[in-house]
Amino acid sequence: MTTFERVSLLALIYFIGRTLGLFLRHAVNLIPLLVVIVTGGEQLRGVLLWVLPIALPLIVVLHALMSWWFFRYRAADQTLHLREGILKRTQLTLEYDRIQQADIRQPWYFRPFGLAVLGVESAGSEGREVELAGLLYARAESLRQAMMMQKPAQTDTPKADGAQAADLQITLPVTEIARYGLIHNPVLLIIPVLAYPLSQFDLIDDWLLPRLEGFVFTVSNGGSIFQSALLWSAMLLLALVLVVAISVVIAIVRYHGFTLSVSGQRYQTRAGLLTIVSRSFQYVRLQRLVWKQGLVARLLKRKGLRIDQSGRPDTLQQAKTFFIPILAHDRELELRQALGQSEPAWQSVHPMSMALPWVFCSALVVFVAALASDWEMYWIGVAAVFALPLTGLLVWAGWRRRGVFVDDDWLALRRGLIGHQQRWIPACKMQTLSVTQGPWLRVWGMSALHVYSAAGRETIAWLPSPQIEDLQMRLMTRTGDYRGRWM
Amino acid sequence: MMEYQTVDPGYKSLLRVVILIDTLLMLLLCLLPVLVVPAVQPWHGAVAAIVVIVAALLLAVFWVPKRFRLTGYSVQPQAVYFRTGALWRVQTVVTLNRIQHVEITQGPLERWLKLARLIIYTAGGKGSDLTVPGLPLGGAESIRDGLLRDIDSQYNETDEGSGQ
Repeated sequence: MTTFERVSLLALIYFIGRTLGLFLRHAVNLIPLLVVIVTGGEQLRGVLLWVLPIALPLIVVLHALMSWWFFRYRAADQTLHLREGILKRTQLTLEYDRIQQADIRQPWYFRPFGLAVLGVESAGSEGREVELAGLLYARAESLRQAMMMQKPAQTDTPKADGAQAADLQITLPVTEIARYGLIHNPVLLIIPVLAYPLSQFDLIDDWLLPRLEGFVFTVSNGGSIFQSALLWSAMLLLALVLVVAISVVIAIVRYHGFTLSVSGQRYQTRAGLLTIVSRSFQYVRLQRLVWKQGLVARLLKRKGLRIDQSGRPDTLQQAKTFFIPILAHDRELELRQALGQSEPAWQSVHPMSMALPWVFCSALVVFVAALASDWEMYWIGVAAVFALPLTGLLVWAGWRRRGVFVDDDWLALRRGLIGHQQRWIPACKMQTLSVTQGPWLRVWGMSALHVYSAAGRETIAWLPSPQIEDLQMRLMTRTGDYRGRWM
Repeated sequence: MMEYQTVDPGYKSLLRVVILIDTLLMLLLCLLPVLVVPAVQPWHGAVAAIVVIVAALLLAVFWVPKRFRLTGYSVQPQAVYFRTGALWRVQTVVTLNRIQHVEITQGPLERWLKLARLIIYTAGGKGSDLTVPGLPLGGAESIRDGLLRDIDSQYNETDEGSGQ
């Protein structure tokens, strides 16, 4: 029986960071204090101006120091015990058996000291994350090893439960990571968020408009349109290149030296330029595979894979998901084989599934045209003539890519219009299976199957009712007969 | 084809009481504009009220019996089945080895009609739980006890258990 121990004093940096985070989250509560400062008169303001810059850092450091002092952990054979809290003391007991995923993070500020942060996620409903900061790397690694140890007794091991033969190692060179930067463009996503604060600077009024006027002035005074246009397109191009370059840099900082290693039940990734994150989970925890390919990825012939465990996948917080950013075709095949994915024979759903989306989309376009043209018959007609075939084509393209595949190990769905997505759920890990049929589906003798896995819901609609019922039975029997661990 | 057990006939009363309450609320909604908005004539409200009443009667007379007839459950050794819905039909199955916990609830109306609701939770998150409405309280309890017994014996059969 080992006793509780503290983490290294160097972890203070981590605790300061955590305190600052806490402070920022509660900063809203301090707004009344602002009122005091504003209305408090000259003298009080003068005092506060001196006190705050000294007191605030002091409070932060003191809080961090005390957090560190009261943070103790004990790692037993099968459980991890934590004690923390300055005034409100918490004791946490976590069974290794319930751990979904374990990360070892080596933040840049810990790397010189050979320290690491061990973060684990349990299967509890709150998905509370537990972090042990300031462990020696070797200690963190051995702890994780203990946590990820598989239970020896495995009664039956069908393909979907990890009877993988060969171990696999995939390393992504920096060129691939750069490609991922092209595919995934977080900067473009930030632009709308930045647009509002930027608009507060009157950029358009003060900067853009005078220049545009200058442009018009030059042109109207006999300057070359071509030259100015060239200048402007060059500037736009430059902006685009800059945005892409930043994305590539972000991708490289995050995924530099990405390595995926599969050995038996254990999957592990390791990546990062400044902060190195290594993440691992056991195959039994797998609840869903999501293969994704966007437009750019399709042009580059690459795919990404996300592996979901129990609980809602936090797609926004990509930092916590088990994610393989980019895979070329041959690598994809290797990984598919390691994961035990079958060769899918996709089945299309009933073509009638296109009817309502087509009608609704066309109606929407026509309605917008009607509103815009003030209900003029001519424009409504034009809109209808163009919208009907066009939306029809889009809906048809979407339908063509939609597919369902079920075998003894997997339920797979595929969809996409410009991009492409596949979702695979182990057939033995269903939670609830629900067949629904509304009046419209009943007219065509069709049904829909809603499949709830621990990672979320999937829907298979527009297959003939007997087939859907058969599917439900099949998945139910597969799940019911399965006696192994499912999470 | 599996035999579904129908729920308690009191379920029909429950549905009708709910319809009655909704109808009263809708009637209130019909009345309000007449009182508040000057442009709305009393007969506007009257027409709306008639529509509401006719719809409620149709639901109470035709929809309720059909819904009751099509609502049923079946507890099998391996799984629990439930179906419901007159127009939008739903048939749900949960295998016993995926049940996380079982709950019995009674709202005020249900308590008055001596009914209970049995809710079976799985790890599938929102919308994945199976709710059997309109059960007599004793019936709900005996179903629950039977389920828990079956799960226990299943669990003991295997050394490993089902993970949860």
